[in-house]
Amino acid sequence: MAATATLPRTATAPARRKRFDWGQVRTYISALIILVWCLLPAYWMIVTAFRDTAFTFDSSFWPTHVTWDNFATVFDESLGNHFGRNLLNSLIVAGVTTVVALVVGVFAAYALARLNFRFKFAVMGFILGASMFPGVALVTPLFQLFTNIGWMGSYQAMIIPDISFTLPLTVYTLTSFFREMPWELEESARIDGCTQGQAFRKIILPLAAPATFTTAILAFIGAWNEFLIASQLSSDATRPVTVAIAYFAGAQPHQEPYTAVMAAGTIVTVPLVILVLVFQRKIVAGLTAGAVK
Amino acid sequence: MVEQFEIFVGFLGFWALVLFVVTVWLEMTGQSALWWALGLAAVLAAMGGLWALRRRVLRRHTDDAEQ
Repeated sequence: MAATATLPRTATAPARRKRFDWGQVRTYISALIILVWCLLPAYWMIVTAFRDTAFTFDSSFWPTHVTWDNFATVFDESLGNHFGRNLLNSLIVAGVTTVVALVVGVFAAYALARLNFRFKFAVMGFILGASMFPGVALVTPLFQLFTNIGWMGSYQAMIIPDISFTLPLTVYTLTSFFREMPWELEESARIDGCTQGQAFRKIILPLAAPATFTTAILAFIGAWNEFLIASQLSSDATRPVTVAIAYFAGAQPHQEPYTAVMAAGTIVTVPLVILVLVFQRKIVAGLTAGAVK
Repeated sequence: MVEQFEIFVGFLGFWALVLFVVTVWLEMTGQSALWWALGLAAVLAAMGGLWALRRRVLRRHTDDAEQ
């Protein structure tokens, strides 16, 4: 009876109007605020990079007096800038750091995730503690050490400290990924005749590719942006871009070349932006890999 | 739970090592190392406390499993 009473009512009821979703509007507004907050400095950098030197302090929000001269100044060796060389140095330091950190990190993470030994988690805590060590406290001892052994101004003087900064991140990210990987895969490989090393190389490592890739990109970005150690331990020949920008010389003596610095900043940012945009999917896949079983 | 205790012990272990090296170095070079040594003692005490807590948690867990 109740059913027959409700049926006609539902049949004749006017189609419900879609309610305005304030929650969604709030989400979009929050996203917009975060987006503007994050992108505004980058936008200002790009706008200033294309601005004529005479209008460096023009506060107009939109691009005005657009010129490519600042980018020419950046690569002008007659002014004492060796930006191409500095880019190559950054690439060498960040590249070698990433490769070494990954090779060591993959093995360390596998051992921490898969092997049973005493104080395994204490080792992880130790690594966590090492990652929180303030870099500035290392500058003076490293300066003295590398001077004594004749490494001052060499690539390895920057690469070795950079590895110590990126390795904890590498080990932590990869350990959490390896721990969520099903054991059965490795056991099946062992049953099929693989040694533990072969199972790791042929089964586990290919499956860990997204996480490895993500970690590599994060490590590369960290090493690429490193300034503190490089500012003290590099020489003219090995100076990376982050430090080179601080030493920048403009077209006019005794004048801080803000527009050229912004142009250099734009150039330095481009490889990272390309890297992240091209491999965006892999990064997200790697970061969320192992989040749920 | 035990895992988190161990991670924290390892974390403190790193800082204990740092404090130990600094204390020894200051002693060897004839500088005042009192505050560093006290810091080291505090960190070691915290590590000891955490380890005792870990053992107690493990024992309770074993007792619960037996019952």
